[in-house]
Amino acid sequence: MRKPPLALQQDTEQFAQAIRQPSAQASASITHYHQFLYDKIDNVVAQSFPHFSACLPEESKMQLINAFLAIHGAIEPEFHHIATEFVRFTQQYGKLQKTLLTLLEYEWVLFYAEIDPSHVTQSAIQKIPKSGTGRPVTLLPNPTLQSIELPFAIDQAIINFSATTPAFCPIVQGHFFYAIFRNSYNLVLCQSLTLAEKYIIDNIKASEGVRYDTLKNQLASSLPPGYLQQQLAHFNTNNLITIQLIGKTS
Amino acid sequence: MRRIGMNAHGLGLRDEHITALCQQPKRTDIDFLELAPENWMNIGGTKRANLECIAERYPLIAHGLSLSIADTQPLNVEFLQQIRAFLDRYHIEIYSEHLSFSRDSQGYLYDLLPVPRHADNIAYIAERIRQAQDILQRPLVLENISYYHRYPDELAEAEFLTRLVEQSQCELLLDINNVYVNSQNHGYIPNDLICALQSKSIRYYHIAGHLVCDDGQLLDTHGKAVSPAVLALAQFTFQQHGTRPLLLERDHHLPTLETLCAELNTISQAVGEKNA
Repeated sequence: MRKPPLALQQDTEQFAQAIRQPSAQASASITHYHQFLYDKIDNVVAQSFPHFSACLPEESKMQLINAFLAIHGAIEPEFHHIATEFVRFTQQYGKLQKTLLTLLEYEWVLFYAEIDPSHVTQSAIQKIPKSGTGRPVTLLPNPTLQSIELPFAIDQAIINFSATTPAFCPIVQGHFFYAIFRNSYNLVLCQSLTLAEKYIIDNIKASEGVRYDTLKNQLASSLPPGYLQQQLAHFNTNNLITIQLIGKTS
Repeated sequence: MRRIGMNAHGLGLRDEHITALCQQPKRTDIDFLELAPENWMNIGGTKRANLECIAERYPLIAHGLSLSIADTQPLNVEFLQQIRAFLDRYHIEIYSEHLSFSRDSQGYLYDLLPVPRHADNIAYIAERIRQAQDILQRPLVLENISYYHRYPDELAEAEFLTRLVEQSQCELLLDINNVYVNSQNHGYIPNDLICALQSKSIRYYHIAGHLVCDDGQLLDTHGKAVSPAVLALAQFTFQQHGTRPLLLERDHHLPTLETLCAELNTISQAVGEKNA
């Protein structure tokens, strides 16, 4: 392959760097292009992360977007990855309050569940068959499922994160667990989990599919009798997992 | 492949119109839809379901945003392979992109930046176009972008485009609004540029609205109806180069689908009458 002409390299690099970080004396054309870039990122942040965007004071948002343009090396060409690139940058940037960063990451999980290319199916069976049917049962996680822990309740986050709260702290703090996933009707759902529910979900998700007998042996001693079977049926109904029978009937 | 006739008229596919397009039978006033593959590739959920629905009803043109054909980094081959798979999956014959760069040594900038129109750059860009065409197994159709920055000692747009087409065998997406916007901002006669292009290289046309700023500068915003001056230039273009598929772009301040189709119909009649 032919090497790029040196002048082309210099011209384009100089122009791109100037619009990433325009100087105070920048020409009108440089300022124009910087504004185009800024508006595009601002729009993505507002659309993809509405609560984060609403909580962040205008000046902080401006600094963050300008830093993203100046510093970040985006590697993904697709436009729906701009949101992901912004989160990557903000995680590395290290200048955002931890609670706000968590809010951003939570909204990214919602955003990604919506566009995740995985195909979500509904289980053909409703619950774990009684033992002795002769066919092993496998539990598969919904491929879009993310189990997360937040330092705030989601409704609290929506209500209480606001630019008028000086420290951007939710009123109620603690440990809150959620399953975020897209169901087979393409709805993105956020389901609150108890610690025991999270424990089960995390075990299924960690192995990307697990035999019911194996899971039962692992967890039975930690859970009340019948609890596991009941929860699995519930998760199956809600599309968090899929119950599958393997092989032919014996 | 689903072929798009020379008299075809289409719209850019916008999220805001998808529900209406999916719920109605195929409209007779839209011959094809144009979409940005970057906004649809490798996506699941509702968006994917909507795309399947749209693709069943309408022939599609893919109009890319991130190829960055004129940058100085190695061509993103993996991205091009994904584009080709997308085109094949949805039976898309025409893949257009912008004669621009959108990546520097740091990474993607997600905008269409003007490339210096210097003679020394033509062979390099032409070789990248040929490489892209080999992967895509289709001609690359390149759009003349609107630009607000100029490099010193550039060739005229028409000369640069014509020489690039000759060396790469690519085709042109002639954006009539961009010609008009650039002509006003950079002081040339738009009809001269139109006349200087070779008819055989033009695959299809874009038309759109623009914003006139307080200082007189024109911005290619795709946020307004097509201006009478651009419509007149479109009529001239059809007379000069003949009928081609015509795509109305509208990205901001979106009217209803009905209003947009009515505008498309008005434009189609205007260029059709002049060209009859």
